[in-house]
Parts: sequence; C-alpha cells; structure tokens
Amino acid sequence: MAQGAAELAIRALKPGDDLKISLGDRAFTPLKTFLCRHATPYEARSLARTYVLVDAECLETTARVWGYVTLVASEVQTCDRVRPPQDVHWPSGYSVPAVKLARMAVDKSMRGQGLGSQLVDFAIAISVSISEHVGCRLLVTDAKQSAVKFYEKAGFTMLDTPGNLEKSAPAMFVELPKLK
Amino acid sequence: MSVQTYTFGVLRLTGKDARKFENQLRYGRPKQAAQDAAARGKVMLAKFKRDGHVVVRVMKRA
Repeated sequence: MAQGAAELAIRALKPGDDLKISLGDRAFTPLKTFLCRHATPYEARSLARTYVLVDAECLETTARVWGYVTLVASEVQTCDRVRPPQDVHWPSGYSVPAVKLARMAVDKSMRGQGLGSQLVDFAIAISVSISEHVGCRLLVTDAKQSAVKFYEKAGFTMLDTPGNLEKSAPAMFVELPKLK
Repeated sequence: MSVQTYTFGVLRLTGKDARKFENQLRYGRPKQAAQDAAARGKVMLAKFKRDGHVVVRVMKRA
C-alpha cells in the first residue's frame, strides 16, 4: 500500500506534486523522465492532460504520485490514396481524429493491484466523453511489447499488420463510437 | 508500407498498414473488454466530474 494509506484516488496533476515515481527498469526511463520534467509544463500549456494516482487523504494538497496517465489530442493519417470510410465524402489524404494515451506508468511498489487497468478505464471513458462533443473516433496508444497483453485485456485492438507487430511499441486502438 | 508514430502526436500509416487499418475500422466489431472498460470508466468519470477525483479500488496482490 501507499505507506499506510487506506485508499488511492485519481485526480488531475497539481503543480508541486512529488513526481519521483520508481519504475524499476531502464526501459521505463522515458516514462519517469516525462513525469518528472515535462508533465507539469505540458499541463500548464495545455499540451497534455495528466491524471495521477495519489493517496486519497492528499486530494487537496500536493502529494506523492504512485501512477499516472497522460492524454493528448492526436490523429491517424493514412496516405497512398486509401479511401475514406464507405459512404462518406472526405477529401483525399484524410485523417481520423483521435485521443492518444501517450504515457502511463504505475510505481513498481504498487503494481499487480489493478491500478493500471483503472487508469486505462478512466482514459477510455474520458475519450468516449470527448467523442460525444468533438469529432473523435479513436483512442490510440503505442504499447510496449511487454504491455500488449495488458492493453488487449483492456479492450484495445492491435493494428494487425506485420510491420506494426514487429515494432517495439506497436500501435493499438479502441474505436470510440462503438462503445456508446 | 509503414507505421510512423510520434508519442505526442500523429500516427501515420501508408500502404498495406493503411489499408488494413481501414478494413479494421470498417469491419471490426467492438470488443467486449472495451465495452466493459468503458462502462467501468464511465462510473469513474462521473465521480471525477462531480468531486474532482475518484477513489480507486486497490486489489490485493495474488
């Protein structure tokens, strides 16, 4: 547990939060670096929105962060004269508007307790909510190979091509209109 | 064909990757896991919008 705390909660990142998350593997260094150096300025400039896991008793104050998820606006561009969806007039070189789950991590001391899954559930719900007000068809992510099964279990679909499957972080997506 | 992606930006597909993506969007069915996740998340988001936070379940490790 979070050093004796009874409950955890998800809230928006606050300036001054303790961001020294411990991820335990060099492969996760970019996730740690982003949280420590970039998440707060990105938040301030509306370049990304980061939601953090903190002790539930620290909701009004700054707090130690035990996990986070970061969402940004994105799009899927298709080239090479691929046709747009059937029965839809769309200019050539069309893009599919999307939300991107850009970063997500849980402190190594807190793994195996369903916290990552709940962060993803929350991210999917935010994306569905956005798609109800703004044209937005997908939630996409670049899943590390070690996390592919986790995202599949959360409902993501793999872009099923050899080129994508070979990548160290293949693209996966959730189609939002089908969840309403 | 290629899959080009930027962590904080666009996902760009060409050739077979783009065509496969188009087909998956056109013919793909919603996964039950995604529907379940969205339903759970919807409850969480309602509490978040109401209170500014949502308390999460902490499961015991197996």
